[in-house]
Amino acid sequence: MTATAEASTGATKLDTAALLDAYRAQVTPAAKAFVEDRMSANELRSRWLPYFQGPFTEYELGVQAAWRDAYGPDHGVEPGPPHADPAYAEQLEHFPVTISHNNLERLVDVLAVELGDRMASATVTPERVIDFAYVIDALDRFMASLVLTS
Amino acid sequence: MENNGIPVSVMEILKSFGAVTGADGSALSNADVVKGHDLAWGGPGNLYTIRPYTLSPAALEVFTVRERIHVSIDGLGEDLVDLHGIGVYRRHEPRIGAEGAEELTWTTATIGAQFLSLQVVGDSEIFGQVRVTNTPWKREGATVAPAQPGGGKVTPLKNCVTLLFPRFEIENLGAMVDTGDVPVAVESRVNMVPPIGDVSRTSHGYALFDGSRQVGTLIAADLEIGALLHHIPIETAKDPVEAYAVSAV
Repeated sequence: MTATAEASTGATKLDTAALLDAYRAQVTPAAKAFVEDRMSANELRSRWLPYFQGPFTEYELGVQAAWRDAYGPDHGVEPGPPHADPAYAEQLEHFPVTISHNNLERLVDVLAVELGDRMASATVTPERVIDFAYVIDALDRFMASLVLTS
Repeated sequence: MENNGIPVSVMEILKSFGAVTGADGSALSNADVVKGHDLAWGGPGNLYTIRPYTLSPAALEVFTVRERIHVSIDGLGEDLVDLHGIGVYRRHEPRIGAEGAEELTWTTATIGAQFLSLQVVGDSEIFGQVRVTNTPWKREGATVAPAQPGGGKVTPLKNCVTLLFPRFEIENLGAMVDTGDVPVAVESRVNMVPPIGDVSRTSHGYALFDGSRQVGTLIAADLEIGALLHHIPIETAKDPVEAYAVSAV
C-alpha cells in the first residue's frame, strides 16, 4: 500500500513565522542569485525543492489538518457545492499561502525545463522571470502580513 | 543585498541587474505578470471561496479565465497577449488514484474533467485582436492526480494536467491557426477543486499551423483560473479519464 501523508486530527498550530524564516533562508537567496545570473535554473530548482518538500510540505499538512479539525474528517465525496463557508475564516486565511507556493513550484519547474543548466539571461520567456521575481516578493509580503496579524 | 538596512526586493534586483532582456517590464508588452488570481492571495476582505482539500460531487462549472500567450507569427512578429474570458468544464466523480490506496480521500483521489468550452479574447499592437477557443469536436480535458513531492509519501498536493487543442483567431493574420494534431499541455499543482486561484503553464513551445502550413510558434502559455461563476450539480459523469492522464513535459 502506498504511504499517504494525511492530515492529523487534534489542535493544529500553524507556524507561518517559521515558514517565512525558512523561505528567507533557503529560497530568497537562491532567487536573488538566479535573477542576477549567478545561478542556473537547475540549481535554483535544486535549492527550491528541499524547502518545498520540507518546511512547506509540513506547513501544507498543517493547513490541511487545521481545515479537517474544523470541518470534520475526510470521508470521501462530501455533498453540496464547493463553496467554503466564511465561518471557517481562520482556516481559510492561511490556505492562500499554499496556493501561491504550489503555483511558484510550477513556475520554478518550467524555468528549469526551459533553461536547464543555463542562466536566466538565456531565456526566451523573460515574462516568466518577471513573474518569478514578482511572486517571490509577493509571497514574502503575504506571509509577513499573516505573521503580523496572528 | 540591502539598502540602508532594508532588504532589496528580488524584482528590484532583476530590474537593476539587467541580465534578462526586457526585465525592466518591457518584455511584458501590454500584458501583466501571471501570479495567480487575487483570490489566491487572500488578505483582509478576500477570504478564499472554495473548500480546500475536499472532494465534491460531479458538476458542470463555469469560471473566469485569464490566459497570457507568447506567440510568434511569420511576417507579423512576436508579442505577448493578455486574454480574458470564461471556461466551462464537466467535472467527474472522484475515484481512488493513489496506487495501493483503499480509501477515497482528498489525498488518494484522482479527478477527471472534460473541457467543454474556452473563450478568451485580447488585443495586441502586432496581431490586432486575438481570440482563443478550444476545439469541441476533439477530446480535451484535465486530470487532477496524486503527486509525491517528497519522493515517498503521497501528500495533499496534486498534479493537474490539462490537454487542449486551442485555436487562435488572429485579426492581422486574417486566419485561424492551431497546433494541428498536437494537444497543448498545461500543468499545475493544486490542492483544491475547482482550482480557483490556480496557475497552469506550458513547459515548451508548439508549432502553429494555418491548415498544413506552419506560420508561427506558441512560445508559452500561462493560465490563471479565476472566480467560479456557476456550479450545476450533475447526477453522474464517469468518463475514461485515463485518456487524459499524460504527463506534460
